[in-house]
Amino acid sequence: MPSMNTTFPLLGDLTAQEQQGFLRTLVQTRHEPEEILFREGDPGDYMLLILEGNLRLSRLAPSAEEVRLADLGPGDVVGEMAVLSPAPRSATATCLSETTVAWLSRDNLLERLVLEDRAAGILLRLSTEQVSNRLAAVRTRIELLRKALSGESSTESDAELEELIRAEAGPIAENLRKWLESR
Amino acid sequence: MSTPRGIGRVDTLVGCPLLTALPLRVLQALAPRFEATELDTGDLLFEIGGRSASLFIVEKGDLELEGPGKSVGRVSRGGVLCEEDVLRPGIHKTRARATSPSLVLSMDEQTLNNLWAIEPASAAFLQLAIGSRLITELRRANTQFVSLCEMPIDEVENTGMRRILKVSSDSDLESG
Repeated sequence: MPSMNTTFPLLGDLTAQEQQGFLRTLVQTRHEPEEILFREGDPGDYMLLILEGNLRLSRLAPSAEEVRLADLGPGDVVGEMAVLSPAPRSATATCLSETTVAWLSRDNLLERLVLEDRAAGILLRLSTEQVSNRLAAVRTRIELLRKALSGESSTESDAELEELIRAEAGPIAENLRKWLESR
Repeated sequence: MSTPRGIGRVDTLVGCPLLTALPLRVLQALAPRFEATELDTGDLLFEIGGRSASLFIVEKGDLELEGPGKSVGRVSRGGVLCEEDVLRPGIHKTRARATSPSLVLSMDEQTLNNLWAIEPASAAFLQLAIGSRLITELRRANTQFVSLCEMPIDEVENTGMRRILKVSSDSDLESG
């Protein structure tokens, strides 16, 4: 049995007991290290809630090299965007250790929303909030890059962009570095 | 001058691309939660710098969106404005001006929050529709961001970016 102490930020202010009640209603599966849960390009219409263990999200760079995007653990969620808007997976999820996940498909979420399941409602609200925050962050980054590329940058925007380049992992940082290397 | 004119109509919501996939009973529940506002030609729906916490759907007429000193787009029947701001209030970066007599439906953040309390299923389906649209926009923005990052180096010559990248790289070397 996975630890029932895991709590999920995406389940908001539900008590630990309410969260566990919700998680018990989902299908749970256990996986071995190195097992792949889904691959980049696979159709995606479900999310996984990590109850135990660790997953790595990675994708293939144009050079065919595997690029690590993130390592996730208990309490993290993978694929929430696919539940809101099904699309091919943008990354591959591989177990780093023995891992237990709970599955929530789009159809299951919709059924729960019709039945006014509180946990499903909270999950939806916080997921869309997260998407909205991500969108705002990407737009800020685009604006910073545009300003820098057009020579309109200020000391303030320069500092924000430096921070972005430092914080950015994986292919984006790699691309930005290429600009430097190709001088 | 804009004039409040009652509530939204189901047939307007049915014809709105944002809501087209929602069940009819959900649209019937949502319609009275929208407020309808009439605009004469030239009236402003919202102004640059104003607080933005409402979703707008154009029921009739046309509106022009203007940024500082220029037109940035138009919306007509079925068009949606500011759907993101009903979830995450912000500041209007454009103004919306009616270019013909118009009728616009709106729902603000507070109404959506109240809807979650009294009709959670209807609120959920509206939120899902907005969330789906935001994800489409997020995927588009991510692609745009990556394309900017992948811009060929000769297009980056003589821009501020070169200097910023240099500073960032030096800092990384210093830190380790």
